[in-house]
Amino acid sequence: MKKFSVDLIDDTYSGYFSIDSLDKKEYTIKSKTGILERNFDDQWTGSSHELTSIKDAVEFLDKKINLKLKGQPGDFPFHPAKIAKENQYIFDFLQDLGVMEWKVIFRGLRSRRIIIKNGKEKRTGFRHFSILIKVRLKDHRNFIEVGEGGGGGGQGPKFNQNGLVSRVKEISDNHKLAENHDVSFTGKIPVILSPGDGAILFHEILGHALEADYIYLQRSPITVSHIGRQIMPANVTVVTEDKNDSFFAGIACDDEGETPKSACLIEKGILRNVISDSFYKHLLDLKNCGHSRVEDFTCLPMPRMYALYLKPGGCDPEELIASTPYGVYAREFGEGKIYFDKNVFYFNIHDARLIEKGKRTIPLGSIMVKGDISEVLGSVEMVANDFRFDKGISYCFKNGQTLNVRVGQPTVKINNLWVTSDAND
Amino acid sequence: MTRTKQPLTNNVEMTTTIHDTLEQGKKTGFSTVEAFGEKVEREVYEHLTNHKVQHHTAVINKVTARAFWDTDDPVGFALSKPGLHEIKNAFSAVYSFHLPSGAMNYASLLPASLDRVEVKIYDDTIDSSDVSRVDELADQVNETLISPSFKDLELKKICYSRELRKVYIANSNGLNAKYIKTHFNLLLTMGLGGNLIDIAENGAFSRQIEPVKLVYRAYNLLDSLTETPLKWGPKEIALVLSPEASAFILKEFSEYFKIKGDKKFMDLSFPAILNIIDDPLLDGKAGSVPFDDEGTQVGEKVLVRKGSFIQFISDVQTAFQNGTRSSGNGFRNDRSLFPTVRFSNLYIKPTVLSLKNLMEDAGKGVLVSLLKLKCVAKEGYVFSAYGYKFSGNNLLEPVHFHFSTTFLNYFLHIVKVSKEMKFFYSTYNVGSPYVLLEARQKSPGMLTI
Repeated sequence: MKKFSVDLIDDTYSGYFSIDSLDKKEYTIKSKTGILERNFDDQWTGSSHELTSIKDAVEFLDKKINLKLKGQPGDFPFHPAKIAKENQYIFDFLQDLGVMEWKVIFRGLRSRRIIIKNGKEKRTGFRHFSILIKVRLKDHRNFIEVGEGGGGGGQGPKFNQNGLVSRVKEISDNHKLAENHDVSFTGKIPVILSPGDGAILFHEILGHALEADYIYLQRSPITVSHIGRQIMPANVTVVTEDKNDSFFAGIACDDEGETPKSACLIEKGILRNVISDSFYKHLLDLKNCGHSRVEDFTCLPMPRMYALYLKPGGCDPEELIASTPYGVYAREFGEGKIYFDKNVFYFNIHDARLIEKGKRTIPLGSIMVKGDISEVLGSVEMVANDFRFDKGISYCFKNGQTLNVRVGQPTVKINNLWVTSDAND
Repeated sequence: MTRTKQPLTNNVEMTTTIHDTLEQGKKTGFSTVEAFGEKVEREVYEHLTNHKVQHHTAVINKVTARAFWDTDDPVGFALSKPGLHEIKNAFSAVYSFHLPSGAMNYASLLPASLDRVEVKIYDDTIDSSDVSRVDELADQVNETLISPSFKDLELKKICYSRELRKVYIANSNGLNAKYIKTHFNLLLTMGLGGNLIDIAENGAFSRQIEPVKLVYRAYNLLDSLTETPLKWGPKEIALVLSPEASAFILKEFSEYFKIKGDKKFMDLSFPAILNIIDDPLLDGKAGSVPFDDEGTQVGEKVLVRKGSFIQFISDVQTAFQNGTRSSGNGFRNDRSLFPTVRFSNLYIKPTVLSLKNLMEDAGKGVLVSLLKLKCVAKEGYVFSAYGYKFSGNNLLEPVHFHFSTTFLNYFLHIVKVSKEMKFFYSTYNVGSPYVLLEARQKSPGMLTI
């Protein structure tokens, strides 16, 4: 592998505003500018420095860089007083809902990066606003979270207030109704994941299994020898790019200045590429990289996902339900735990319904699904044609670094999942 | 520590920046201002088997401000290496947000002064150690692995870091204090029979990092990973939890020791053998500090003494909400600007008994080496447990099972505590000796405590 150098100038401005059921408010802003210098010569040597401005970084690097970056920190349209006024409807609704406690969190992030690889300069930009509604229902230990996010318009964050309120109300009602039913499951059953956010399950069990550092360390059940081989059913195609999605439109390259040569990970069930940075590309003799990401300039880059989309299939979504004599329809998704070493994963579903004789019936409230990673990857039975992107608040946590990620999928039917509302199963 | 080149501009001293922050905050119109500064120099080495991967240094200078009006909730900001201009702009930006409700705030409770306390958390060898230290550690690991005792145990990755951290805290009530701390970390990724484990050692002193002990721990943990389910005749089972397993549960249940915890616990009596302490003044420990991130004086806090609940921990804000005084547990993290309630060195106090005593007293049971949290269910926490059956002092075959428990049931069923103490660091330090517990078999492979 040839010697090369990469300098990453990172300028991030973020805002946080929260309000809760006790009318406690918190407003904070963060401004972070710095540089990550890295040189590769058999190994990476690098250094990070916090700086006052991009101008500092240019002087620090002693390189010629065009300083004209759009916008100044003060221009960022994240104004809590305005946000509070515009979203009063949500606060009023939550106050009347009769829950134990609630909190609404608004976040705004603007990240601008200049990546200079071997003297060649590239720029990336990312802007994101989000709302997260956390509700703790009566007699419940954990919070239910409902949210949405996106790049916002020129005026700043705008949210679908009616949609958010409806989702909170529906989940709350379904949990109350679910208390009247005592459903227990034996054996593995099919689970139908709703379009959009359901793809976070594939991000966790497929996407992370395809990350080159996990492959190199043999943490993942996938190995390089799987490339070119069938690892999923032929109805599954997974890609990392979708021209209709503007979520990462400002990301022209990864944090090493690379772009993937191919956006295809799985083609009709055949593994085509894995998710790699240039170091692991060299180490594992791969063809593709362009997935080196870092939360900020103080951290060490590693192979990470940006977006992961499961392409639509040919079925009508109702066919998936109609073909299921007994199963579960999963609508709102929580967090999961993946144990690659045990080949097992657990995933929380915050709102689910039972499927009986091809029809959605009673609400189940919160449930947990568990599966064998390799078996589940091979158990995607049907893929519908109703592709949707997630609601824009998918995050990924790896080795202490949290990043925005994007997922999308149509309605998908997976067989062979254990489902339990009783976690002792 | 290798000093890398410094930024060319705005290389002002942190004390000046802190002073400017307090002054600008008052000028902007806030009645009380708190400034928290951090200067961090970190060096990380990462090696994969047969490949050097990373040598990375980081220099971080950050100032965080919390500003109060006479009433209402405070606002705040964090800036990287700011100058006067940036500080002024940030105060203006947050000042514009004021939704007055007239509610009282806790500004007057921020400490105005501190007594000097001694805690050994600075290793002056940090400047003299260099890249050879990581090679030396890797050599020690590899030499240990040659032993036939560790057949098939593989070192996959080694990561070594050292950090020098200078902390400054000041507020307009009059407080002005600082401390310096070092932190060393060795993280090994070890593999055995298709299983991998990350195992780490942390401390304020370089000499506390003992790679050979880490290899032993890694082997014991990996060797216990089995899918063989626990088969047990009697209904009652004695469980001896390793320090690792016990500290894992203590951390999971530590939320209950925070001031928002259920006050009904104050009336409960756990077994008299149980003493739980949070002590930020333990020399050399990764969680030790002379004061918390709000400048509150710290000291040993006994949370449970001889089975009786004594106190909760708090920061200034949660103490204010509960009409009490901060216990000195307000710490900042990268995710939230304002302090949140966190432990320093939380541990179960050891006794004079040995592990051998615990196993002999139990007669037969399971020595649990490793736990993973499976989920939090309606009836409590469910853990996936790996360990060995034992009879007397003899370890038998490895077994796997699950058990569910709650905060109350867990501590109520602790029978004995040993003397062999070990701390584990992740965000804060949690320590425990071996503990002997009584469990019941609910169904094959499923226990309840």
